[in-house]
Order: sequence, then C-alpha cells, then structure tokens
Amino acid sequence: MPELLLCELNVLQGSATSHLKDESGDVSLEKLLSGDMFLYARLLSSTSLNDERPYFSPQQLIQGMGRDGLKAMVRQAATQMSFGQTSPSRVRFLKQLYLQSVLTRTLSEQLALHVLPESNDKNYLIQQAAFCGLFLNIGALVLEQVYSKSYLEILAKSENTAELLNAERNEYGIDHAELGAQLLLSWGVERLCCDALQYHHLDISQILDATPMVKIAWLANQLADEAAHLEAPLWADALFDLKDVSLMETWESAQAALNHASQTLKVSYSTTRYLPLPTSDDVDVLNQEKTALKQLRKNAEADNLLALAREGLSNAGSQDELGQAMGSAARLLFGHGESLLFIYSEDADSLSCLTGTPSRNELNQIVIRCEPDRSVIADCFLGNSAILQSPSEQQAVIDKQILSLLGTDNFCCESLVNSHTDGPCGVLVLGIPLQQIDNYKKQTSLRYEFCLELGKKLAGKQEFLTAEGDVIAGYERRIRETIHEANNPLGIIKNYLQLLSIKQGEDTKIQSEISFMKSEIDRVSGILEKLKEKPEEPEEIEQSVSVNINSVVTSLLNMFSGSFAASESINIETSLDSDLPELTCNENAIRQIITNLVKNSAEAFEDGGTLLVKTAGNFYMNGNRYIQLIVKDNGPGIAASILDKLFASGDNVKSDAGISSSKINSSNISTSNISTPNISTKGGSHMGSGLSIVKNLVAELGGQISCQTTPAISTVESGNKSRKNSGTEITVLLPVSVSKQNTSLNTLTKNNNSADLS
Amino acid sequence: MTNNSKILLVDDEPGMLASSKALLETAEYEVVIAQGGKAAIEKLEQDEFDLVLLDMNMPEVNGHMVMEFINDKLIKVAVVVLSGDFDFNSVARAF
Repeated sequence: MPELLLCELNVLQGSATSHLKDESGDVSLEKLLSGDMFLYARLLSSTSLNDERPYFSPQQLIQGMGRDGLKAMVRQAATQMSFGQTSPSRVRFLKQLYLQSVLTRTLSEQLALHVLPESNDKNYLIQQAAFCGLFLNIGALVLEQVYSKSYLEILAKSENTAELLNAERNEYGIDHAELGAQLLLSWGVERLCCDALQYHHLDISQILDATPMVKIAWLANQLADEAAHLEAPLWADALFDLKDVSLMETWESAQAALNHASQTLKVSYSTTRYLPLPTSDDVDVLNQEKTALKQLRKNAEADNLLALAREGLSNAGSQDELGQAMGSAARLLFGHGESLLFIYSEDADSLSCLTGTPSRNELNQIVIRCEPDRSVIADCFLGNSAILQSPSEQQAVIDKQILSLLGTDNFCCESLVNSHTDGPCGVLVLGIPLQQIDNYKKQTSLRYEFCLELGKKLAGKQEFLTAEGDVIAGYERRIRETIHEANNPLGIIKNYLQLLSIKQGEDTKIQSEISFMKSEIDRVSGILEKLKEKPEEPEEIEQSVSVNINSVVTSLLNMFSGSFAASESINIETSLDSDLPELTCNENAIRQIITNLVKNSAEAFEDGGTLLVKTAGNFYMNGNRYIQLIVKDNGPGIAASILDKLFASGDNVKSDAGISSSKINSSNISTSNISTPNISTKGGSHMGSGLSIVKNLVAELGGQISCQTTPAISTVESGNKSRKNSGTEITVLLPVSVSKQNTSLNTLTKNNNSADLS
Repeated sequence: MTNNSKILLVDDEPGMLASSKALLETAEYEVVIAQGGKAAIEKLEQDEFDLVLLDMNMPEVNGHMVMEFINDKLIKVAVVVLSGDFDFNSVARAF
C-alpha cells in the first residue's frame, strides 16, 4: 500500500516522522516491518531462513539482508505500485486485510503473554504468536494477487466465513487458511506454527486440545471480529481459563495498535471485514488512494534518482570526476543549471571551488577564506546552515561574481558534513533561476539527502587520496608530528648545553666541545627536516661553499680523539696533503662522509687499533682531477661473504672476526664488481646504514667509493684470529670540479683489488 | 626590555619549559611558565607580562587560540611565536 511504502521509504531514508521512532528516539525499522505483512512477506520470500535468522525476528532478517538490500526491495515495490492500476474494492480489501493483520498480530502477542506459562522459551513463543497473528490471513492476500477480480467477487458474495471458505475450496481447490499454512511452510516456518494458520477457522470444539499456538491464533481471530465479543470470554475460559480482566487488557492494547494503523492508512477498520463499503465512500477511497500514490510516485522517483546520483558519486575517482558526477547528479535531482562544490581545506582554512561543468574550469580558481562576512558561502560553512542568496547591492563581490558565473538570479548554499568526522567539510552551491524558486522550496529534504551523499563522498575521498598517494595527507601529517616530537628533546638538550656553557665560563676547550655538540644537534634537526620534503619535489640544493677537506678532517678528528678514540684505545693518524685543492660543495655532506667512515672503522675494532685518515689531491681519471680521501684501519677486515652486501641500506652486516675465520687471504677476497655498495663493517650491535649514506652522498657529489679489505685469519692452535696484516681501506674519490659524473667504473685502475662500490 | 622583565613561557612539553626557564633565568628574567594554551590564558587573565614566548603546536588550546585571546582582549604584550611550521597560512594565522 502506498501509505505504508511511503513510511518505509522515509524510514530507510532516515527522515521518518516522529511516530515511527522508538523510545530511544531512533527510527525503528524493525517495528515498522514487523507490523507490515506485505513487506515482511516479501522479505521472507527472498531470504533463506535458518536458526541464526529466525523467521519471527525482523531485526535479524534485516541484518541478514542489509539495509541497502531492504531499501532496494522497498524501492522496487514502490515503483511497481506507483505504476500499477487499482480499483476501489481492491484498495478497500488490502487496507482491511492490513488492519486485520495488525489487529490479529497484537491480539496473538497479548494472548501469548497472558496464557503461556513462565519459561525460558516464553519470549520466543510470544514472538512466534505475533508472527502467526500477522500472517493469519495471508492466504487471502495470495488468492487476491492471483485471481484478483474473481476473488474479490467471491468475497463480496460470501455472507460469512464458512461460505467464504467453501467458495474458495470450490473455486480454487484450497481455502485461504490452508493456503496460508502452505506458504509459511514453503518459507521454512515450523509445522506447529503453520497449523495455527491452517486451523484458525475451525469450530472451537475441534481445537480444545490443540497446541497453544493454534488456540491463541484461533482466539485472536475471533476477538478481531467485534460481533464475536459477547461470546469471547466463554471461549477464552474454555481454551485458557482466561479471566475477563486480562481479556480486556488484551483487547485494549490491540485496539491501540489498530487505531495507530488506521491513522496511517486514513481508514477505519470494518468489523464486517470482507464486505464492500457503501458506494458513496468509493470516490473518497479512490481520491485518497490517488493522493497517496502520487506522493509515493514522487518519493520513489526521487529515491531512484538519489540512487543514480550515489552511484555516479561513488564511481568518481579523481577530483575532476567528482566535480562532474556532482554536476550531473545535481541536474538530475534538481533540474537547475550550474552547481558548484566548495571543498574545505583545513590547512589553508579556506574553501576551494570545484565546478560541476567541465567547460567551466575557470570557476576552479575561486578560493574563499573561512571568515565571517567575506562571502555568503563562508557564512554558510561557518554557520552550518542553508542560505538562499539573491542579488543585492551589499553582497560581497565574490558572491556577485558567482551569481554572474552561474548565470542565475539566485543561488543556494548548503553546508556539507563529513560523514566520518561529523565536522563541516564543504558547501554545495546550486544556481536557481527565478522561476524555480517555488520548486527549490519543495526540495529541502532531497537537497538534504544529496548533501549527506556528498558528505559521505568527501569523507571517502580523503581516504582514497591517502591510499593512492596523491596527497599522502595522513602520512605527511604523521611525519610532521614525528619531527615535531623529535625536535622537542633536541631543543631541550640544546637549552641545557647552553646552560652548561654559561656555567663553565671561559674554558676554551669545553666551550669548543659544547659548540660542536650544538652544531651536531642542529645537523640532526636538519636531517629530520629533510623528511618533510615530498618525494616528487626536487631536493633542495644545499648551499655550496668552498670546503677545505683537510680542515674538516682535522676538526672532526680532534673531537673523535677526545671521545670514543680515547676510551676505546684507538690511535688516529693522519696523512693530509697540504696541497689539497678546495672543493665547492655542501660542507655538511663532507662532514657526514668523514664522520661515518671514521666511526664505521672505529666501531669495527674489538680491542683497539690504528686508524689512518689520508687525503691526496693528485689523482686523475679520464682527464678529471679528484681528491682522494682514504680511511684505513687495521681492524678485522670484512669477510667476502658480507663484502658483496657492503653498503646495502640498513643491513645488519658488519665485519666480524668470527665470519672471517674462514681461511681467506688477501689475494682471493678482492672484489672487483660489487655493484650495490652497502654494508657496515662494524661490531655486532650496529645497523649498517652508515656506509649506504656515504655511498649516496658521494654519488651526489659526483664521486666514487671503493673498498679494499683483508680479513683476519684464525689460527688452528689457539682458535683466535690473527689480525696480522688484516684491515680495511675505503677510498673516496671526489671530483675537484663537483658535478654529477658518470665515470666508467673500469677506469678506476689504481688497485686491482679495489672493490668498485659506486 | 630590562633584565627584570617578566616573561610568560608557554609550551606543552615540561622539559622544554624547565630548560628554557633555567636558561632565561641565567639572564635574570622573571619567568612564569604555562604548560599548554589553557594555562597560558589563565596566567594572562591573572597577571601582566612584558613578553610571551608562545609555542604554536600544542594539543587542545593551541598557540593560535592563545593569540586570538590576546588580540580579542587587547592585551598589550609582545609575543614571540615559536613554531616549526613555516608555511604561509600557518604564519599568517599567527597574526
């Protein structure tokens, strides 16, 4: 029936009227469904029943089908009905049957509540009784659907129920009671429940010892007929020993449910159920039906259009597609011309325009700051309200421009709410021609629904963009937060260093060391800041200065001598070429190369050793002059097994006497083609990312790096390793004229045992 | 500003507050600390300061909100904004 489907469409669209809401204020679709035998029957016909989804629990049936599935079903029924033909007698029959089902359902439920003994199963049985009551006469509905006019004629001719049942059996070979039972059986409803339908028209004497469900359904059917009220107490007593008082309570609650349903259908329940109404009423009945059908048609159409709009929006992958989908959907739903979508950017605190018409891309340049009184669009966003804007002298220029660009007399703004965060996320702007103003006022709920869909799409869009890496907004935010977090302790350390510096007075050496620590902290901050750079952005070119590598080596080694070198018995020697030319490059990169190489060698020592840092400025290759920077140690060397992984990013591989215990001598460990330089040559606890950083920095400076190593050899007698002649020498070549070069590796011929690591 | 000037130091990080306070006190400034924007607003309501050192990136009541409060109440105080955000919009919002 159109009235019922209207209610159901409204509930499913979330705009139900208050009388459909349950105590908690939520719309109760279950409550609505459990009272509508038509929709419930459709649902049962399309659902497979099992113990987890019992037939009498609308809630679980809805869960099984999903709200969208149910909505599709209601929409389909509404569409079918809105185009169907009807007659006054059919409308009357359906309405009476519906009201009767509401009545028998409530009566059965109340009777079960009163007559059934207390038990664990009682609630289950009450639900079952309500179900039987609802479908008590579904057989009549089936006969009407199948035989239509002839069945309605039989109904009109029948003076009483016995005559009706006989006529049904004669005409169709089955009466509606048995047919109803068969239908329920086909849905998988248990037999004893179906019996309640099959035997509800028998004489009382035949059901005195039947199961409670049969007796409850029988009595409910009798009580639904006002003519039977006088005899009802006697029957109730015979069947259940039910007192008058509880029978009255049952009747009153059933009457309340009936009144409610009558109001929905705008028709009163006829106690002479199947007889035709007086002819004078037919015009009213039909008019009423026409009005309801008209409304249903309108709602079903809007609902179908919304479904189309939703589909279009969900298919939109890019920003342009979103604009186009929004534009098409707005034209489909509202029939107006242009539409604009303003998307809120939190970072910029502004609204950026996205046009719904591909040819109007100039509109995409509009950006409105989210401040009051700047534009009606910003006001709409800030006030989270709908605004209809007409031309006026006082309006902001941007609003005038938008009106002009939309080419309409008015435009309306609707704020959009992000469905995930519940926060405002944008504004929908629709151009409205003057002649459409009346129409605009009637489309409030449709606009509301459309805005909800846009809010959902915008919420999803953020996820999509993050997932695709177009914006990587979430990732960037996390990086910014992490950098901020990491900078905090660094700032605190710097503060305390400054305090220390003040307290230490003018001790030059201490001040120099503190100053060095502060500059190192700044370097860490700088490294962290580099994380903010987007991968697609060209790396910021670090400022190039004239660098004297010897000075950098001296300054760094002074610091190392006073720290780890002293505590770990490492002797650091230097051999610096006094004629070394200066390099024009990023000094920080040079510092980092030297620091990593020295630390890497120093950490490889197990019990001290000697480390030599050497520079030379007279190395030529392919006609280009290079500076040589060599860091040499007499540590345990690097085993062949890990040499080929040297410089691999983050590998925990290091030189280890244990590994080098395999008998390898210096002549057979020469590696000439290590194409992926990488690996740390340190002791057990260090992650070897230092050398991979060196390799990258050297490459950035257009240089090359190579490694020559002789692992320690273990002696059979002692099991210890001999470090005689063992060690590692890493050579870095930096072009004097620094530019990225691609020098052929095989021209690096100085040493046949060199490992080519560039 | 003389060295007995009164500074309101605002940050959500206790370590930063303690270390900065100690450092500023070596220069004989009078330093009042506020951990977070809410505490800062309370201090600004109760007392007068010559300078506010204000971290912008704080949870709940952030530095921008504290700035809004200072501007709305027309409080005459110099403010030094401490922020890791260098983008234009963030900077523009701080004024």
